[in-house]
Amino acid sequence: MNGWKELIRIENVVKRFGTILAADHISLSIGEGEFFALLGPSGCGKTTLLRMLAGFETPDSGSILLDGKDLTAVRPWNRPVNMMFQSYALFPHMSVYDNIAYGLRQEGLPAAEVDRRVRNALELIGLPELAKRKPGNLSGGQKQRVALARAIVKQPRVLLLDEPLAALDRKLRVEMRLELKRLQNEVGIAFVFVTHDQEEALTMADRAAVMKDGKVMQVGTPEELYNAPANLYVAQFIGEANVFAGQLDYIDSEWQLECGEQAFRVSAAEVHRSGLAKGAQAALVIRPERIEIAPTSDSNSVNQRNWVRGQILEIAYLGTAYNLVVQTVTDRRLFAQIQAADFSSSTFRVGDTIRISWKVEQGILVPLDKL
Amino acid sequence: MRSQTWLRFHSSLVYIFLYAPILMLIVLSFNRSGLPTAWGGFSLYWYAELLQNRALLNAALNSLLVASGSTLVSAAFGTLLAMGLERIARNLVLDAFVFLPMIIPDIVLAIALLSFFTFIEMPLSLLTITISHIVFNIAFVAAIVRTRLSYFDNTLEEASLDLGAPPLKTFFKITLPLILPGVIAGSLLAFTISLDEFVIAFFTAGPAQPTLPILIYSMVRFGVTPDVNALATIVLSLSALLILIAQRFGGTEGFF
Ligand SMILES: Nc1ncnc2c1ncn2[C@@H]1O[C@H](COP(=O)(O)OP(=O)(O)O)[C@@H](O)[C@H]1O
Ligand SMILES: [Mg+2]
Repeated sequence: MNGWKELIRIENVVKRFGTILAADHISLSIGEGEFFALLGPSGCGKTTLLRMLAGFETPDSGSILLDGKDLTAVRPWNRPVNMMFQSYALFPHMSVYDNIAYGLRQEGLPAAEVDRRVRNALELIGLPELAKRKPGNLSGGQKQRVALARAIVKQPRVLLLDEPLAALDRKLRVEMRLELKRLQNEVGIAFVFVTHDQEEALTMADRAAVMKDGKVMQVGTPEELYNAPANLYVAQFIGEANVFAGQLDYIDSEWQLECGEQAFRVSAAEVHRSGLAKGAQAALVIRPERIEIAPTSDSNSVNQRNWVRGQILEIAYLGTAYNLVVQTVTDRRLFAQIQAADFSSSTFRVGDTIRISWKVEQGILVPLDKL
Repeated sequence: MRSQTWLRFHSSLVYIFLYAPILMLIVLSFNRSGLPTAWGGFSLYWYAELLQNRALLNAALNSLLVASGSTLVSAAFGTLLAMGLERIARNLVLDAFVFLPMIIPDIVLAIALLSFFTFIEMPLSLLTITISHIVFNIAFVAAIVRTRLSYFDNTLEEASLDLGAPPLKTFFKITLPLILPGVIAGSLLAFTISLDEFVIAFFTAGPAQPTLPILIYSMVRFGVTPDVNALATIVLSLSALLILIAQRFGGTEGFF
């Protein structure tokens, strides 16, 4: 985040639709040139927030500032902000060229300048030969690129993208992630993009805001969200999570989470990070790839590790790794991901009882959300 | 199979019933003798005769003026009305009131309009007929434009606003071109309806400027000259052509 400079500031924004709170006191800052994701399940208010940035919805209260200036009274056609719509919204009666030129013509630029910039944009998205086509004759991927070019060509301060990849098939979607990232680097415009796909957000975003029911649950880099979630919701939304819930305790100068059947050691650093105190209700989150497995006969030291005993229910081979489902003696299902190099399929078979363990400092401690 | 044969026979009868009189009219217009009872050979005589009939041509011109004027105004206001209904009102009662002029019996509308013009002391003329026709034509245009609007993707307008075009410009650059087929279809329909509308025109016409239907009606009472057949054939062809064009533009589903 070197040289991070604030571009957009969203302050305490509230938006209601009847009884639905689509934005519940949202506060966020987005930096210049930043690739920022709004991540959350369907209906959590991502599009609404984007539409408030574009000017199609007005906040009931709170304010949105761009370059320090309040945008509230600025109409959509006067905002230095452009949006790429989820449906692309290409004008069906205009050619690809005219679609891209549309925004520039509104600025009253000379025709030569419009032409130069449209051709550059077509070059940028790699479709110069499609200039004369009508949107009806384009594939999904091509439409998506044209929609992108049409918004980028205006060189806005911020580009808003509503689920830009959702309509593409899986293979194209993964390709376009890199492509979007490349484009964003090239044009240097801040991107605010909405997605419900955490993988998409993690692979593309510099920072992301995880949303739920109109609220921002956490803002952070993908690493922060994954390794240091602020609450159980974020821990479970970002990546796979094994969760143990219990009460935090401090015994013999060591932090522990009492989970009824068992107590797990918790690192002091995690307790500090979570800000929880002794006696608090908390959850310990273990990522599947942090788990190691060993035969129960293995008598290696389990110092500095938490462990539980369980029976292998399923083994799935994924090429580089194995995914295991393990049932503990207390009937809990745990997910483990073991690198193929560390896994011997002759030692571990479905039905075997094994010991699964993780390093104490790899347990993530979060407050137990009141759900 | 049998029921299909039946159906074919049945629908043929219906078509004959519907179109035989019209077909007869067309044939008669080319009949040199001018009598429905005797065929005097094929000829364009009555069409030539029509060109000499000042009164008939004047009435035709009046009809064209009324139809064009009421269509132009209805096209503009009907379109705006459709947009208002689709975007803002969305209210069943309001809808019903707008489309009422389409189903209200002509005679009722005619009496109402006549009383209205008398009340505001507006002398009857082509203008009053035109205004009267606007009343129901707006409803027809609005109804057809509205079906077209219900397919319209509103995000296109938002995209245009977002790209820097203010609302009015967005309307002319994006919305209007995309609903234009509906507007044209509605206008053509309005034009044809207005062209041969009789009851309302009869009540709201001034004494000196009859429209074509009014003139023909008055001629019938004193005996029709066969050149009316020729004129009717021309009007029929024109109407059929307009309706075909309107159908090509779509948006008239459920009206024909
Ligand atoms: N124009 C609207 N009128 C009524 N409710 C709306 C409107 N727009 C959004 N909502 C509601 O607000 C909530 C958030 O919607 P949205 O922002 O579209 O969520 P997301 O994009 O995260 O799926 C949803 O419950 C949705 O039904
Ligand atoms: Mg959405």
